[in-house]
Amino acid sequence: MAQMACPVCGERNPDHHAYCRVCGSALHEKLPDAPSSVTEPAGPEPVIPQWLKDALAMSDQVSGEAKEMEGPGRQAGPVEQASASDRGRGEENLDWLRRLTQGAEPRAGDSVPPSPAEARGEGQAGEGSEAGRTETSSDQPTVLGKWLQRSRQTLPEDPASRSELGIEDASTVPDWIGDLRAKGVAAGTPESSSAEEWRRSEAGQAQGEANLGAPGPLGQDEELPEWLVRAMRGSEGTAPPPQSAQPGPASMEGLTAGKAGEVQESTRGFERDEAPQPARPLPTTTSTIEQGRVRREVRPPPPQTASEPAEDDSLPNIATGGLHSPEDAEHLFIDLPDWLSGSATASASSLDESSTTEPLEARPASLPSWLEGMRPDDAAELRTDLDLPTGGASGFSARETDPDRSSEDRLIDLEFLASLASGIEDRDNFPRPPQREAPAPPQRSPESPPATPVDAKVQRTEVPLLDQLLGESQTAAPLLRPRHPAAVRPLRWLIASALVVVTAGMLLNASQSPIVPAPASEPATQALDLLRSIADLSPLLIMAEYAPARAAELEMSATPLLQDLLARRHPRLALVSTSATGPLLAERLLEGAPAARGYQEGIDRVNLGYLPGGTLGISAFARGPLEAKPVDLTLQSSADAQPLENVTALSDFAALLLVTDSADLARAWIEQSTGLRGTAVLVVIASAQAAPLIQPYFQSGQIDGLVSGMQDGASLETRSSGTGSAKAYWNIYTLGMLLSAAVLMGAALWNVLRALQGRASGGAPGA
Amino acid sequence: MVRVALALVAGGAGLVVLLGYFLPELRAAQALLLRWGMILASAAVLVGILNLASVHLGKLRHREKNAPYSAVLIASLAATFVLGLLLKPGHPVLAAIINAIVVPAEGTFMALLSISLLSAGVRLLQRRLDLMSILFVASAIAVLLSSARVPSIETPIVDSAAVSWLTDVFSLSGARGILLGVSLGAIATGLRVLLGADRPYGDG
Repeated sequence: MAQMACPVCGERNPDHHAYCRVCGSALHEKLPDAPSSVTEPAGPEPVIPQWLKDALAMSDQVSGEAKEMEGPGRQAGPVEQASASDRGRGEENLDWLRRLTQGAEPRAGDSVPPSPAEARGEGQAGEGSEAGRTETSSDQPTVLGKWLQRSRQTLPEDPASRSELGIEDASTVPDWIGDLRAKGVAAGTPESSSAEEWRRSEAGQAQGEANLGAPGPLGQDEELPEWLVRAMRGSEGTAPPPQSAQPGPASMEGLTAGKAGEVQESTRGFERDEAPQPARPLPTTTSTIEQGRVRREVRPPPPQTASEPAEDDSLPNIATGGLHSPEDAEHLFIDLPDWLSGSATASASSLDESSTTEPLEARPASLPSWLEGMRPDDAAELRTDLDLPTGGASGFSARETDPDRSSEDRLIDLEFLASLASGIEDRDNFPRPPQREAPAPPQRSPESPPATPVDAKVQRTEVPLLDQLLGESQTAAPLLRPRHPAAVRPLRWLIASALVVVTAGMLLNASQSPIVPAPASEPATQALDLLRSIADLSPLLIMAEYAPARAAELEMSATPLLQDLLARRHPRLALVSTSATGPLLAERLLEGAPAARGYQEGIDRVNLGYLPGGTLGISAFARGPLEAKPVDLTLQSSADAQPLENVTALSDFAALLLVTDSADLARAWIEQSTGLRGTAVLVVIASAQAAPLIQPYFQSGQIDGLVSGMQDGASLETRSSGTGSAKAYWNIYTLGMLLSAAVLMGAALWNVLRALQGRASGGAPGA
Repeated sequence: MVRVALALVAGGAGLVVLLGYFLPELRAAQALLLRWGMILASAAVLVGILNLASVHLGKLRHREKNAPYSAVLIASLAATFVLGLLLKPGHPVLAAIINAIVVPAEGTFMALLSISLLSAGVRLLQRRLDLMSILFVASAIAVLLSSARVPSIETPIVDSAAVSWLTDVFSLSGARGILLGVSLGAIATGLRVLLGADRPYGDG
């Protein structure tokens, strides 16, 4: 039967086979589903560094030694032919290197050789795996030893024996698997994970070493070279852990230390330029050692063709304009979130473990919800928005929708998206997950409901709308332009004149006011009753917390209550304020009460002055009045002041009288003194503006009384002594309010009627 | 490092003051920290005054527009400061400055504000006649009428029950809502400062 050598692995297959029974590669050159992996040189010839030339020369030398070992009569096998052709194209295939070193942009349609991927993937395996890179590379297969070539040619044809070796017979493989393999080989997708095979080979190696010396039952009768045995024994203790998903230990065994060192030295430049990567398409080198013999299957790394988008090394170039420095490469992966790198590694491991038992299509990649939601439509949008060249990511959407795609392909795409997200300049607009995502998103089962898609397009279109809404909420509707702007000034003069005339007239006739004030409110009445119940000569603290502009209102509100209290109980007074002008306003307040005129500073009253710190000072004063204010306004010791005799705490005061026009200050005093004032009565005298905000504290019992504005002041004055200025001020005040209400009602009616008239006549509303 | 130290100092001080409300053992430390805070606040007032003076002195040096007002401010500030140092804050001269200058001036501004607000209320429906404007004017009129009394008439313009209803329902509900919001905001702000999320003292 005529046989045909596999152009990839050199395995001789029956002529009627369409695919290689070992590696699954297409045996015929013009198969429709197997695009050529030959890369046409693009651009000028690259400049090959000297170290790489040395590496190639060393490779040729090793290949020559292998040929000499086989003898002169042997024809060069397909592998050697392929390697020779590869060497002939060596400089062409180093296009990727030129791009790295020169930062050139890959052009659309260019196929990218897999060398960078190999270099990085091997570089992850550590220093000791550098030698294996040479062996696993399809571009440099010439370093394969003669023993390996011979072992391939002596693989048993018996299906049972091949099955024992783990080699699947092409005739027993279903057609759809063969197609998949052909696509996989052509498109660079390894048909199985090498990590699992590597682990198996490790187990086989251990078993083989235990049975070393026994004759091998299979056709791999080639003895190991001495240098390889030494290398294997020397590498036992330094083999990487089998959990690593990176290839290397199997291929690492193939070189002597010296050769490995040479190749390692020659390829060190790659490692320095390559950053760690979470997951890589794994090389398909398998190695099995059984009973002292090594059987290897060297499957070339997936070639990259024009139809297949470039992998990690080229995609960032497309998105970012090229990796010009090692820092670029590092930056490419530094921004990769932990959850993404972790999931990528975990996914690679899980794929390796299960890739041989279930169809790859049934295992979706573990993607975060936001990324899952982008599949597949938004991926095309994303590519369109980023304006990616077709040579780089044009196949992304098509591959995403391809049902034959394996999970490893999806993993590669995940890396691609991650590299885009970290590499694009305008990454703020890129839909990225928050950095505090869960470290490892759970593996979604095929039955699980799809994640809620995050439609980036909708978000982008709704952002301007939201911005517009926010902008509108902060800008008031435009006012109508007044028809007669000059009429505003006379209107103001008219209003001011009316108010001045009415209030001045009432002030001049204050003694003959016909206005009867309203009865005192319940909080004011309760405040008056409580203050009347304190003991004589007991200490009383007055907090003057109002501005000079409100002095008139608050003095008229507080004076009736204060006058009644001073006249009845003669309390000792202490004044304090958190306002700079408060102490002097407190003095002014006392001057308005006739009963306080006989009070002497330092004997009957003490002005503690300004209390700095706002709420902080209030809190400190509540916990220790004398410690917070050790001296009074005259710089005398507060502890020596007679009004503060036997006062060491806030609870030692019989009553606290807070006069304020600020609801915040009232809240601060109430809250900071709660629990510290003991049985002391707390009464708040507030302006009409602040009183509604303080009313809840009275409703809840946190204060004992509330005098609200001038109305309560006038009412208390009527109820107590009946003399004072509060009623006169109240009369003027209420008349001004009546006048204001009348003006407002008249103006409102006038404007409404004019608007209705304008609408009836079809004109513009308003003035 | 400085940021961490600042955050630790601020958070630690705030935590001690907070726990002092619940643990009697920490009340001495709490009072000490509060007094330190008062001293720092007093110093901050002085710093603010010096900054104000420097700004207006700069305007005077560069002869900027409204420089005479800056001169008046500097002169008033210096005079008050010197008088306060010499005569003590409770001296009648300083009280006269408050009673004769500060209180009338600020009271005048408040009276002008009432005239301006009334003028604006008159022209409000002229400029914008919509539902919210009408409600605003109606609310103002209701508040004014509920507080006022017609001369020589015992009966109020608006019934007392209606006034109480307006006060207890509308005003109190709104006031309580505002207080609850303020309290929640204060709690959130305090926690953020304690945890270092907010740094009102700067990032160092």
